[in-house]
Amino acid sequence: MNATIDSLTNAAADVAGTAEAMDGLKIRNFSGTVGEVTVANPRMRTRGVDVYYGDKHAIKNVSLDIGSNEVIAMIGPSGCGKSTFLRCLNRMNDTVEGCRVTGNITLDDKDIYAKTMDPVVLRAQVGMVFQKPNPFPKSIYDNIAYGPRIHGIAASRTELDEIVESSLRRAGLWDEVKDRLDQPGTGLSGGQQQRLCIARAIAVSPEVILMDEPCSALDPIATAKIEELIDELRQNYTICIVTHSMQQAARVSQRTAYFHLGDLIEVGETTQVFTNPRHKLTEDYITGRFG
Amino acid sequence: MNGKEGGHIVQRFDAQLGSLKDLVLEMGRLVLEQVRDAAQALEEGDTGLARQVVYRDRDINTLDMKGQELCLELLATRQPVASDLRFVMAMSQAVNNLERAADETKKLGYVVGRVYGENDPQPIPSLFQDARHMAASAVELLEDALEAVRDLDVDKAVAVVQDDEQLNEAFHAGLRRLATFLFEDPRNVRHVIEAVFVLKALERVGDHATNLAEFVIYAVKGKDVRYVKAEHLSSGFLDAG
Repeated sequence: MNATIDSLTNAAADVAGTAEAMDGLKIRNFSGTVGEVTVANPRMRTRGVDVYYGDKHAIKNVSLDIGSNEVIAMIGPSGCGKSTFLRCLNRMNDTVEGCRVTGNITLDDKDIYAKTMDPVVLRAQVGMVFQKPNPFPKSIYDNIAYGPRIHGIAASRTELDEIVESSLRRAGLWDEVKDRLDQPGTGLSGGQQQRLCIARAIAVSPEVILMDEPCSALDPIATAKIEELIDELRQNYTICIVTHSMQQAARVSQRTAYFHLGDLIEVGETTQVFTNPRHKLTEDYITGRFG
Repeated sequence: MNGKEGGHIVQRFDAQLGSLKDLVLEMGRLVLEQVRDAAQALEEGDTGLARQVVYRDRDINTLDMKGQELCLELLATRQPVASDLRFVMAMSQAVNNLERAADETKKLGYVVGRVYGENDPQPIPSLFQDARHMAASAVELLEDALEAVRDLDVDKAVAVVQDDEQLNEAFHAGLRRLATFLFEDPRNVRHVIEAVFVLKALERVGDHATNLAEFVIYAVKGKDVRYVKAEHLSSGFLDAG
């Protein structure tokens, strides 16, 4: 796989040598994206990824590294492909009929689309939190314990209790639910349910957590708690977040990627993207001029 | 409305940004009037006009507060980013610099009052010779800087930054000439000190005009050039990634 990626990188770098300006900007990488798509310490690497829904070309030749212990925000208008791209990272698109993914995506240098890769195991390593909190119709305890049980992570009830407690603590929910672990997860508030879903993802010791608009159904206080949590989780996990809130992307992420009609237009340090974006499409979108 | 502040989906945002720029330009127009009137008062020994200059400074202070309130409102309600954020920050700095330039003209007004006050011996006619030229240059710089703000014109802004060097040179040449008045007759010392204040104030007006121009460059190009030498401000430098 490394050899494949390196050969792709080298071949594309040759192409970049002849690349001229795009909208007055020098293309600095092999995929046509403005900005640096590679990082020094990648947890995941995507190279030349295309996604098709039947005839529709939803993602076009996207290459992007996702660095260890970073929060990377993916922004762009509706239908730009940011959620589709996110769902490629743990093969959630496998379940979509007519969806075809090509290119290379690796997690710790392992091809996640290899025939030997079990999607269930992959999704434990690359967890996901959705827009709408979706706790299981089970108790708070069982919501967290479910993953460790099916993956055989806990050897005893005591160990399972420890996993439940530590996951809820990391998700900032323990103090609020420790006295009612046997009550239904669906009885919690929206913000608590979302943190429960994050705790559920954490319980199986993932390396990467994907978040698809995790706060769009939450009020500002619950949103603030999730954002604070994201910042804390960064110490131990890599987080990719899709958000429609520009302010949220600016607040929580270290890098930001801007998608437009399936293309990855620009990626860069979040501060740079929000103060001095280099591509006009990025500028027009984040300043509210995109129409 | 001119320049890049238009084109938002939310048209009220365009209107707010336009209002902010209009306020800066109106403030700039008043400051220009202050510089011209202060220079005329100095030239003609017109203490009445000098008093008006001092008095009118409060109008500029009012616009200063209004401008800062507008910037604060935009930051709080629109959370501007990218070029919008840079524009708001640049206009905030422009308001600040125009207020300080106006303070310099007020100093000129006070000098006229002191030098040409009743019963005081009149200064020798050639004492403020350099001030006349410097005032004309300062007015020109400020006019150009305001045009750069109006049109968000980087080329014009760069020219202002580079032209300010001439005003600085004129200031130092003026100081050297003032020293000769002291050598000729030490009794000139009081008026020479006042003349130094005048030259310094005009030199500072030029500096504030330059600051305006530098913030135009920042707003448009996203580059902080405040500590870049004027001769390095080529288009290649400003467009480099």
